[in-house]
Amino acid sequence: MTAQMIVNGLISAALIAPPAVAFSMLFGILRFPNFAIGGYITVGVFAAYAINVQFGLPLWLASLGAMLAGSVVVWASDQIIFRPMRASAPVTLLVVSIALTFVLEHSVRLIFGADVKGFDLPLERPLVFGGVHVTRPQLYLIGAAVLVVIITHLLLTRTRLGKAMRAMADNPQLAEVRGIRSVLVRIAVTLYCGALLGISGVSAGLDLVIEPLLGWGLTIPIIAAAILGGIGSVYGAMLGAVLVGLAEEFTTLVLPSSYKIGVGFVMITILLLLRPHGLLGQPEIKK
Amino acid sequence: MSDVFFRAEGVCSGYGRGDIVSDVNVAVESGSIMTIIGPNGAGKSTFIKTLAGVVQRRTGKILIDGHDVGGLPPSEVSRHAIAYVPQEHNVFRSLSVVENFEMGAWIEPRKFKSRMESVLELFPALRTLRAVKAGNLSGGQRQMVAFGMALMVEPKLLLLDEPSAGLSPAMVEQMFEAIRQVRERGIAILMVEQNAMQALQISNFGTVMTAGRVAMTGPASELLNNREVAELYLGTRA
Repeated sequence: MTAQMIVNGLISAALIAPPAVAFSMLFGILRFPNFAIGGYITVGVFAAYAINVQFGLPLWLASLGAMLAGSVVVWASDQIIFRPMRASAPVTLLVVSIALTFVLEHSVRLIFGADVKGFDLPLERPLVFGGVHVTRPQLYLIGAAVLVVIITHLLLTRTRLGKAMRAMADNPQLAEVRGIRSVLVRIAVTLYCGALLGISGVSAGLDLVIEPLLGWGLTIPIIAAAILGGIGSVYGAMLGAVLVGLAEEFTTLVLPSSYKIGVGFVMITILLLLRPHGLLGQPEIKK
Repeated sequence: MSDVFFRAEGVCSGYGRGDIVSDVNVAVESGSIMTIIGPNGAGKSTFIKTLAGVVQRRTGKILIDGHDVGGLPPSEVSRHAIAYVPQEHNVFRSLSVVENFEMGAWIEPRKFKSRMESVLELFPALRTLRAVKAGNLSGGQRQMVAFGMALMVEPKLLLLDEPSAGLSPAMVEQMFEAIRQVRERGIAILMVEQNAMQALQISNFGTVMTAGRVAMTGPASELLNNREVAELYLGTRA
């Protein structure tokens, strides 16, 4: 039973980690908590649904479509909404991002309807490994999360662009002084994070049901993971996702599973009291 | 002055509505050091930030090799062989020393390795710290990284804002020695410094700024021997 719970926790973590990484990277560059991640995930999953179910194309192609849709919507929302408001206070942008989530989710509802949907996949029995049950789609989503973590790590540590992204997140003015064009880095980050959120939508659609509020339902655990790891820290977001996923699963030993959503809130509260900058985040230096 | 590489003509700048820097004229020759001294709030740092593009120039010209770079954003100013080292927050804390140098060489990535070797010759203490995150270094080591990062583009004009601020006396000595060595490479240096005595001793020229304006300018040796300057800014009597 414990092994099954650990696997379930890791599946939850695999669902949360890529969008938590995207949330953290966006925060590092855009300098406000973008709560529209739920809306971006919803756009991603419905783009994949349209390609897979309505056009009858394979899921891998639908995944690429979801990544493209995610990139376009994150980039466009930044260019049209957030960039012109750059001088506004972070809390203003946060409220605008919540409103954007509603706009995106209700636009999707208008186009696709409110009923629950699923990808066009054959029904299969779960695979059993030493008594632990896991479905093939769940293995896919774990694989996707591992791939996202590896690619993000390589991007940030082995490429010039990735290092520039970290430099911009660390000290935007110094990055500009050193010749890094912030506009281009901002575009690169929004496109990459959009792709992550698009693929996160596909993962969520594989493990849960596809409906317009799918992304909103994941928002709290995603933000809990990002805050837990230290907001702005990509590796912290990965660690935070594993901890939130396991905590959610093990809480079901003592509480009904409907209370899972509260686990994220409790973890954020405890952590902010004990370590406000998160597990791997850097404390803010004030003179 | 002969072979003037950099010239600021009638530069005005500031934050909000008022001007902090008013009608400032300064020129620096290649391979020489110009130090700006003055009381707190004189506009010295604002002036140097204006030259780097961090603060917007309102009027006047900022001429580098004859080109006016006034009004350009910092990322474009750096492409005119100007490197600016801020007084604070002058390294990427979450990046390693090598990664900081890599960002320093952002506009000339192909020359990264050879330039880093040249910087490490200037600051050999950083050789063993290459993989350490800049945020984990001491204040002196961070200042070396900041200075080294600026040298990664082999600038023709180096803008230093209070390079000795917060450093131990031994470290200040080392920093001024590094500045002297950089001048030997033919780089023009414009420095704002509170440690006026030591700064003027290694400088070719000096400028005194008060209330956002140039109050006095001339060879550093003349400023060092000027009675008024000595009493007000050097803590000595000439």
